[in-house]
Amino acid sequence: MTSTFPPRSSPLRTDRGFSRIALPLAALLVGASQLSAQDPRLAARLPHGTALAIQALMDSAGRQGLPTDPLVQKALEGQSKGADSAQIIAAVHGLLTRLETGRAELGPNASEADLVAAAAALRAGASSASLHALRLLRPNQPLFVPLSVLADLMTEGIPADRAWDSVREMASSGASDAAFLSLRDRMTGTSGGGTSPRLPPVPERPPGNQRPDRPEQP
Amino acid sequence: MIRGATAEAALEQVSVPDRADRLSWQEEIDRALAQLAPDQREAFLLKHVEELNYEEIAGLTGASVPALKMRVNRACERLRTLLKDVYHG
Amino acid sequence: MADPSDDLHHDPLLAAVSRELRTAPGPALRSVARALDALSRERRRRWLAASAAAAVVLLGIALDLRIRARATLPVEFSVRSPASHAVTVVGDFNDWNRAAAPLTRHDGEWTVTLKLRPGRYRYAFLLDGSRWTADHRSPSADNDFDIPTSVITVAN
Repeated sequence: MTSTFPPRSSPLRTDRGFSRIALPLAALLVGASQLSAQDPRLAARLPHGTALAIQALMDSAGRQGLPTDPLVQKALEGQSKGADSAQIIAAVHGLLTRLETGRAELGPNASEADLVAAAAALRAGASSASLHALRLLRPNQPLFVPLSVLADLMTEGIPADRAWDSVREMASSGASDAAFLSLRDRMTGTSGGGTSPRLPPVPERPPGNQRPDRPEQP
Repeated sequence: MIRGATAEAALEQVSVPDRADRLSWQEEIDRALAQLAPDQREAFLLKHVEELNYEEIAGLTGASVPALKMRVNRACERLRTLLKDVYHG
Repeated sequence: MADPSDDLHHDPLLAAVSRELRTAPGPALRSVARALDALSRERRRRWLAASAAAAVVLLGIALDLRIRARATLPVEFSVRSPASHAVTVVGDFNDWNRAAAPLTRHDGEWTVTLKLRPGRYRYAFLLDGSRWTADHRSPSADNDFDIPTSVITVAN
């Protein structure tokens, strides 16, 4: 990947006075004829109309200095799982809206990882005010771990207030990313990530070290 | 012109080896940019440094895409003229 | 439609100018700021405010963070499925390509190690090309497409 200066996520790309536009589906498809070059992954895997609609969302993201790869991943996830076009477009549109909110609350220096985690937190039920508060509590550090943990806690069923209180307290006390992930693991009984996330195991493995099957998601 | 070479290879042959050379190359660029008409300079920088596309530049500046393309082309011609004697590539 | 002003690959001199302005942040920022003097007061104010912020980001701590953010870490994915004959892991890290990351089986436990950059990734396992299953050892991801999905957070 070529590196550019300023990089595509830089502040020089975001503060351009474009008003944020709500994108009803019809308007997307009407504007489809003015699109820039398509992402080849979309063209290869999605029906033409769907690819155009997604590309329009990506163009909008690009104009706002937002990352576009998360939108592509969401579209490809839908395609991989056999979703129909309406579901895919709705999911990508929803993600774009949450990325916009993430940018508004976290500021222009937020990385792609920060914004993706912010979108997940919002989806799980976090308020935009909590994103803003987290930015203030950890002004010069990446936020994707605390945000990710917040999202995970809520998705796993921890009540929103309790989840936010735990994350806020840790952020206020300057907790490390590792501490956030440990908190999440303790509260949810899972182990999805860590400072050395699931490095390949040493050769000897204790037998019978498996969790009982968890119930299917509703 | 380097005959028979691809554009990529041609770019790779550009070198600005030491700091004194590099500083004066930067100064020459500054000087040349200063001599462009303001709208041409702006269009060139937005297109080839900030790497916006024409639609984005149009939104930012209020100019039309054809007008912007003309400004960028004129800026390129002027920069070539101004810098050809100091460019070692 | 290709336009001569669209890219500078054909023009070594201008490509060098562009590259110099893009890759020498200190003088280039000043140069770019000076060169944009002719812009209206409003546009110039916004440009300089953004440039100052960019200088802090690029020349300070954030430069280190960006370097760290590019480094990948090995992450092991594993699922127990003695009855399956083929298992892949499919997620945000491989364009949700159903065949890109096959797991290897040892005693009914399937594993693969992937190198991932720090970030948050949704994923699931695909058993025998047709049955999706979440990773029960990881947190659940929110559900856009009615298929159980997991999430992993990769951190330095």
